[in-house]
Formats: sequence, C-alpha cells, structure tokens
Amino acid sequence: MTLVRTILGKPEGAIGLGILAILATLALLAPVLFPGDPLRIAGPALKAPFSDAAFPLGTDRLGRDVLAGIVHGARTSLFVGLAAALAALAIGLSVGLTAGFAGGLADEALMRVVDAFQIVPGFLLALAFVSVIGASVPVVVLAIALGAWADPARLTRAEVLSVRERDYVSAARVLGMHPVEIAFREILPNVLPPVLALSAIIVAAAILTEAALSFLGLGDPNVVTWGSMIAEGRNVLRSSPFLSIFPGLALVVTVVGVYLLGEGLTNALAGNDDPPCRPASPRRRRDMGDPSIRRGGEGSPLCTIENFSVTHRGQDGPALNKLDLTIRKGGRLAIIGESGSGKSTLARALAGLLPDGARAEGRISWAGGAAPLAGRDLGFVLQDPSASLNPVLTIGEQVAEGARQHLGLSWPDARSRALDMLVRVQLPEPEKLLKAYPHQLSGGQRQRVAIAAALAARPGLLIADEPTSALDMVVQAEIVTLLDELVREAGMTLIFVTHDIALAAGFADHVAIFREGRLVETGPAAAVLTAPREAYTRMLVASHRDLATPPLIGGIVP
Amino acid sequence: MSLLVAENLGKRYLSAGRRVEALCDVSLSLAAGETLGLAGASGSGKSTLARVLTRLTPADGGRVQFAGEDWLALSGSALRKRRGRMQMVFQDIAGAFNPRATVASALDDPLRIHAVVPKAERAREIAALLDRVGVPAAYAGRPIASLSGGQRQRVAIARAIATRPALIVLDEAVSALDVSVRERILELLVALQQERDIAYLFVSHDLSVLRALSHRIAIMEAGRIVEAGPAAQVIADPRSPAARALVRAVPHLSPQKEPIDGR
Repeated sequence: MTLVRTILGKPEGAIGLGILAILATLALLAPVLFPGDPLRIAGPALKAPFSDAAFPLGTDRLGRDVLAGIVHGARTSLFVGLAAALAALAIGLSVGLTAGFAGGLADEALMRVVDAFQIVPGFLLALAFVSVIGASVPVVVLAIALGAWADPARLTRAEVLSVRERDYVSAARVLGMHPVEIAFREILPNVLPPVLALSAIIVAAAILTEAALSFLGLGDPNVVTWGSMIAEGRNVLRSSPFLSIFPGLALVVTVVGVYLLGEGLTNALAGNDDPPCRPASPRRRRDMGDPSIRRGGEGSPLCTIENFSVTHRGQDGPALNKLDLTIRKGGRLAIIGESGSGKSTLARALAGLLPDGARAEGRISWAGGAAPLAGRDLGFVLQDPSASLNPVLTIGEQVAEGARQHLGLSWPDARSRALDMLVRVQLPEPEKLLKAYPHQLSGGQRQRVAIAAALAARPGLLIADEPTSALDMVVQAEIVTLLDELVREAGMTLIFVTHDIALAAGFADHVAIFREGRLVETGPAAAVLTAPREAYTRMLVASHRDLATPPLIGGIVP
Repeated sequence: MSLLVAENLGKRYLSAGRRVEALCDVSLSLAAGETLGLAGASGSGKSTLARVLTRLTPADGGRVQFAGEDWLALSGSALRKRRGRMQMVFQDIAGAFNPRATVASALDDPLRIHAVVPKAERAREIAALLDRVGVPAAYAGRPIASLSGGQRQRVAIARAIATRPALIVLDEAVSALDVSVRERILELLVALQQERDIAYLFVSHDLSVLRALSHRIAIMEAGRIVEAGPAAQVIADPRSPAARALVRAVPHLSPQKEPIDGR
C-alpha cells in the first residue's frame, strides 16, 4: 500500500512502526514465550535483574517473573489502547458526521453533548465509570472510550463543514449526484485523514489512561498490566526500583512508538505541501546600514546577479537556472513570467526570503557590499495581503512597527509616521484605520496597508511579488497607479513581479522575461515588448488580450 | 425563444450583523447558443448570481425559467435529473475536483449519473470527450492532481459538456491560467459553442476576456445589473461608472492597440 510506503519513507514513521511491530509480535507470542499464568509464583522473591538466566529481569516480592509480566502486560496495554481508541473513534465519527451533515437542531443538540464531554476531564470520567460498574477489561475499554470520543467528534464535524463548501462538492451537486453518494464519495474520504491522524494521539492517551487506572487498582485484577506492576513495585521502590522501572520503560517506549507512527501518518496524509517561507539566513547586519541603496548615481548597478541558481527542497530541477542579471539603481524593473518561471523565487532570493531548504548557488552582489535588510533597506509586498498582515494586530501597529524598529522612532512618532503612510497610500479615514484590524478591510485596502507597512521605514528598494493578482481589475489598476506614484516620489528602485505583460508595460522601464527558471530576454520595456527578439516573448505578446483585440466570435446575438 | 429567463432575483445574507443585498432585483435572459458576459468588481454579486442560477445557493425571491420549466421550483430527484442541462466550470482549478479523482473517474460521474451512454460505451465516450478538449486519451488513468492547470481546466470543460448541456456557467474559468494557456481555452470554448449550440454565462472581472467571446455583456455593481448591451457597445461606450471603471482598468500592451473610443 502506498500509505505504508510513505510512512516508512520518513524516519519517525519507520521507527514508530518498527517499535510497535516488535511489541505486537511479543504480545502475540506471549503464551508461547512465557507459557502459564504470569501471575503465578515462579521462583525466589526479589531476584535482582541480569543475575539469573531464568529470570533476565528478576522477580518481584512474590517471586513472579518480571519479564513474563511485561510481555503479557503488553497484551493488555495494546489491546485496551487499540480497542478503546477504536470505540472512541467509532462514537466520535458517527456523532461528528451526523452533526455535520444534519446541521440545524440535531447539530446544535449533539454539539452541546460534545461540549459536556469535553469539559469533564476524560480520566475523571473513566475513573468514576470504573469505580461504579466494577473493573473488567470491557468496562475499562468503554470507560476510556467515553472520556475520549468528544475530540474526534468535534474534529469530524468541523472537517465535514469545511469540505462541504469545496468546489468539488459544488461540482458534484451541479452534476446531479445523489446526496448520499456525495456524502460517501466526495466528502467522507476527504474528512477521514485528519481524524485518522488524531487517532494516534487517542491510542497513546488510552494506553496511558489504562495504565493509570490499573496503577490506582481499578484495572481488571485477573490480568497482569504495566500499571499494576508499577504499583506493585512502588512498595519496594527504594530497595528494588527495577520492579517499577522496567514496566515504566515499556510504557514509555510504547507511547513514544505510537506518537512516532502518528507523526509519520500525519506527514504521509498531509502530502508535500510547500515549505513555509522563512528567512533563509537569520544573519542580521544591523550595524551595516546600506546607504548606497539610496545614494549613488541613477542607473548605476544596485545589484549584480551572476550565474545564480536556486533549487527548492525536494525538487529535481532548479527553480532558477544560471541567472545573470543587473538591477539598476532608481529603475523600475518588471520580472515577467508564467507559472513555474522562477520569477517569485528570484524576488524572494533578492529579499533574503528563500524558504528553508532552498539551495542557492552563484553570486548576488550588492552595490553597498552588504545585502539589504528586509524591512529597513527593502520593502516586500506579497500577492495575498490577508496572508502578509497579522490578523491580531491593528493596522496602526503593523505600519508603525517598521518605522519604530528601523528608523529608531518612539511609539508616538512611529504612530504619526504610520498615519502619514496611510494618507500617502490614499486610504479613507486614516485616523480611524490606525485602530482597525485587517479583517475589517477589503482586499484592495489591505494591499494598500501592506504597501504602507513595506514603505514605512523608507527603504530604497521595493519588491512587489504579484501584488495585484488576488485583486479584481479595477482595484488592480488603482494599486498599480499608487505604486507608480510612490516609487517616483521617493526615487526608489522597484522590482515588480507579474505574469501580466501589459501591466508591466504600463510602468516598468526595464523588463526581464523568464521561462522555466531561465532568463529568456531582458532590455528596455518598449524595445522588448514592441520588437521581441525571442520566440517565447513574441508568443507572450501575441497571447495578450485587451479591449482592442478582435473577439473570437463573429456577429451579434445568434 | 429564450433558453433562460431570470426575473427579479434577490438574495440577502447577514454579514457581521449587517444585512447585505447580494442580489437585488436582477433580471436577465439568455438565448440558446449565446454568450452573456457578466462583469463586475469583487463583491458585486456576480458569483452569487452564478450560484443562484446553478441552484447551489437558494434565492430569496424571483423566478427563473430554464428550458421551458420553472427552474427554482424543481427539487429532489426532478432537479437532479435536469441538472445535466445546466453545468458549471469553476475558477479554482485545484479545488474543482475531488483530490482522489482520476481523469477517467471525474468524467465517468456525469456519464453514469445521467446515463448519457450505455455502460459498455462509457470508456469510449470518455476517450472521445478527452479527444474533443485536447487532452491525450492516455491521461485517463492519471490522478487529476498530476495535471497542469490548463489540462485540468480542459478536463473540467469535458466534465461540463459530458451531459450535453444547453447552458454552462463559467465562473472566472480562465482567470487562474497563464496567458498562453488561457487563449487556447477560450478558443476551445468558442469551438464547442459553435459545434453544440451551448449557451454560456461567463462571469469575470476581466472585460478583455469577456470581450473575446461574449455576444452581450452585463455589468454588476452592489448586487444589481447596472448596464447591459451588445459587447462591442458596452465596451466602446460604457455609460455607468462601474462599466467605465472596468473598461479603464484593462491594461494595454502598446499605444498602437489603444484606439477603442474612436470606433
């Protein structure tokens, strides 16, 4: 099965699976390896471990074999853990699916029950249940399940509600698929993975709860368990600590194994999502301010890129391949490319924001010597303004932050700088906005705030990575005009990453066309776009569509 | 005779305690084989209208006559049976297919649900559909997730035409594609329309895309249709502020291509 192979592909999954496989084999073979009742007296009492080949781990106060106890105890621990977790998952899935699909009153009622079970600690519930009904293995299993089903129930319901809104479920409805088939084919299989990942935690918790119950003497007295062995050893803890240590170790190894397997399962089910973006090098060169980014002659090189390649973790080919490019001071450079061209990788590399695990080769040399510091020397505007703004900080705090940190302003001064920036990006009612939160703004307004925050510390270089692709055309036109004005006013260098050749033509003086990690063509915007030398650039220009392009249909209404 | 006539559609919902009029008194009509482009900024209500017409979201008021029937009155199995006549293509190319689907299973669903062809002929029909939208038949067994954006959107179009619909609602169907791919998809849509007499309701915020294949264009703002007319006329002579803003927003590659106002 591919899932097992994926789990085994990661060390945590392989180790976890290995540990559990050994434990399960020992538990299954216990009657063969150690025939007879493990609770019977087998030899002299309190034999030290490693002293007698007949009792490798010694014997307890009554002369029972410790190793036999541990191996037989694994049967109880693993069985109770698995059975309780399965029962909890069965109850949780049924309740969560019912609540998620039924909605309305049934959902309300079921979720209040879930609330009640989540408020009462699971262990207390199990404890009370076993004390009242009496200890036997099935009762312990049920007691643990009762304390553990609420979490998977809540998770299942939340997943159902989210998957129901996906486009592929809408597509199935539009196709006329029967609601029952939608539930079982479109929704359920996509709800299960996160719930299965949670199940490892439930198994581990169930094993620990079982051990705790039997430690307190609430387990089945007729079977040997690790919890009862630890409790038994407690009476002679000073003279013979091994009586508690060995079953304790067995418990720790088992739980660690379950967690590792769960970790492997989670990773396997999550797939290979892009790694989160973090600065590749945390080197902060605070001391080396880079005034040269602002000063110096217009048109002199700000940054020279030589033979520069980047390979992302887990990818075969490079995202950027042997790039040579010069960025001129005070220029407005558009980096143009389709998906997979490497244009965003270049923007991130210039800003020192390559994701973890990305391998860079070649040279990027800056006019001032040191690389510009993001936030102070260079501002970065991302495609998705809702992802780049912190949802719990006010607009004022986020815009003021850069000015405070990099211009050394006091909070009141930084606040007035923030106010000034909000006015500059033409946001209405800037005074009120300082205290607003990102979610109260539209997408276009959020992007204006992101631009204000990027420019608050007066950087000499602004990198905008598809800053308008998540916005509609009308807002896009406004944001582009704004960026153009701000950059002209401050004499900044602008690097504008876009897939839209016409958008770039509108205000860039230089363009660089990228395709599949390679630079295809670069030069003055007018020259490249009116008389492209390369076939790919010609194709891009030919594919461009605006209002003057002849329509694909002829005639009027049929 | 119109294929679809919508009259006085309304849709309200609560957002942060405020009542939002997502659709307000919206009326439109569509003839067989015609493309109506629906343009508007974010939040203008165009996607809500698409979802109301495809019966994904209930309307609060109004009537829709589709293929001679009271479309909003249909429910249950009667609605499911007729859904084959109106299909939809979504903007989110990655999200429009079950993550577990293969190309073949995605196309098998509509054929099976609507019994378009006998069971024994489904595989051949899937191959024919793939061939028609320009996806190699050898891709049938591949997971959708392994396809490029353009190929996925071709499969989405194949899924939409599988039930032989009279109308396809295209919700920003090419907005997420690279320009070179986008042009090929637009050409495919035009060819399919001419061949099968399919009507399109094409929703987009990009007038240049709508211009490519719309016979008429309607402009939405704040839940209302504020302007509608033949595509060339709306673009050459926009009357409403919303339409003028949309026309102005389209970036032009070079000054030589610009003289639209003069025509």
